[in-house]
Amino acid sequence: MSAPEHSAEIADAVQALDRAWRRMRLSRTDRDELAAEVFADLEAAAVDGVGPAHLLGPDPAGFAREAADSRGFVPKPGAYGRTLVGGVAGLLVIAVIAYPVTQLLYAALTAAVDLPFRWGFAGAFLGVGTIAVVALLGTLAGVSAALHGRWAARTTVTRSGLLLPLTVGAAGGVATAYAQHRNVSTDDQTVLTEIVIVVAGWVVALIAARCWALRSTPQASLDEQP
Amino acid sequence: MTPEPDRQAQLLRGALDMCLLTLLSEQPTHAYDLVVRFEERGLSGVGYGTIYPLVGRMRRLGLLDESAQPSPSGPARKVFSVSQAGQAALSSWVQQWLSTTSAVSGLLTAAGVVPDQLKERA
Repeated sequence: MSAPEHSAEIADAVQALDRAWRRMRLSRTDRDELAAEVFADLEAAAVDGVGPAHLLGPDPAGFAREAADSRGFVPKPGAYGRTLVGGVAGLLVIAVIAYPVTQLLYAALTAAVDLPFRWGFAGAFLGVGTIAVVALLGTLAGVSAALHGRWAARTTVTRSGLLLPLTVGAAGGVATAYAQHRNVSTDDQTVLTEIVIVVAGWVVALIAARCWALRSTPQASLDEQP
Repeated sequence: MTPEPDRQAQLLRGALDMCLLTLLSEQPTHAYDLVVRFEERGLSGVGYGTIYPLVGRMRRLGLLDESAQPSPSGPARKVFSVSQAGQAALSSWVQQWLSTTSAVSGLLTAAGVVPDQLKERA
């Protein structure tokens, strides 16, 4: 049994270590194993009248890092900001490349083909779909480049490829419903709100994809390459 | 002249893993008890913040085995012992240590910088 005067200190110290390990994205199993070992040692020290602060030293976060590192548990940095910046950069690059190509194709096709009928809804669907696919590929390329050499990079790109069509599609649906609610107005507030809804869907998809990839990538996949 | 703590810690750092294996070969135990036993042997500067990660590293390298020891006051505790690979490493490190310290002592003695009372102790 630990000395009663140290019980609360021990609980606080182990909680602080667990928070540090959680920030390092260690799995719950690994955290629990480390915490149980340290807890048992702190209790044994308390019986000798030695408090956790003395045992762990002045830098508990450093102790947590050392302990995890010595076991080969490598911290998995979130890199959420990097993921989003990569996605934005990918979108911008693909837009810069795609715009002149679209202009050239449009000019070439309208000069070469005289369609005897109007495409109507299918034409708009094809146009928006093409833009969406190009934007998706640009985002994925950007995320892949931004996370190059980082933990779970490839998995993040794969998961983004799954989630982006779903969430951006759903956000597009919400934006369309909002537009209809506003009588398909083109005033600044309506258009800005529609843009914010779609961008929010895009951001949510990338954050969720990164989070999902980090959680599902085991320690053994440390050498995973993007 | 009192020993400089930093210098002593540096000297010890290179031999710490060997000392740890030696203590565990005497008696398997857990990390905190190793801190106490280092202190009992006059190596009081070796804290838990050094021992715990070192035990983890040596276990990862296969130099230590671990087993669960029932505890009367809580869940079973992990007790560390020296593995076969650890025994082999210990033998080799002891040889290295002896030849290095012998060479350093020889150098100091030949240069005449070792006080007479220390020569007698050696």
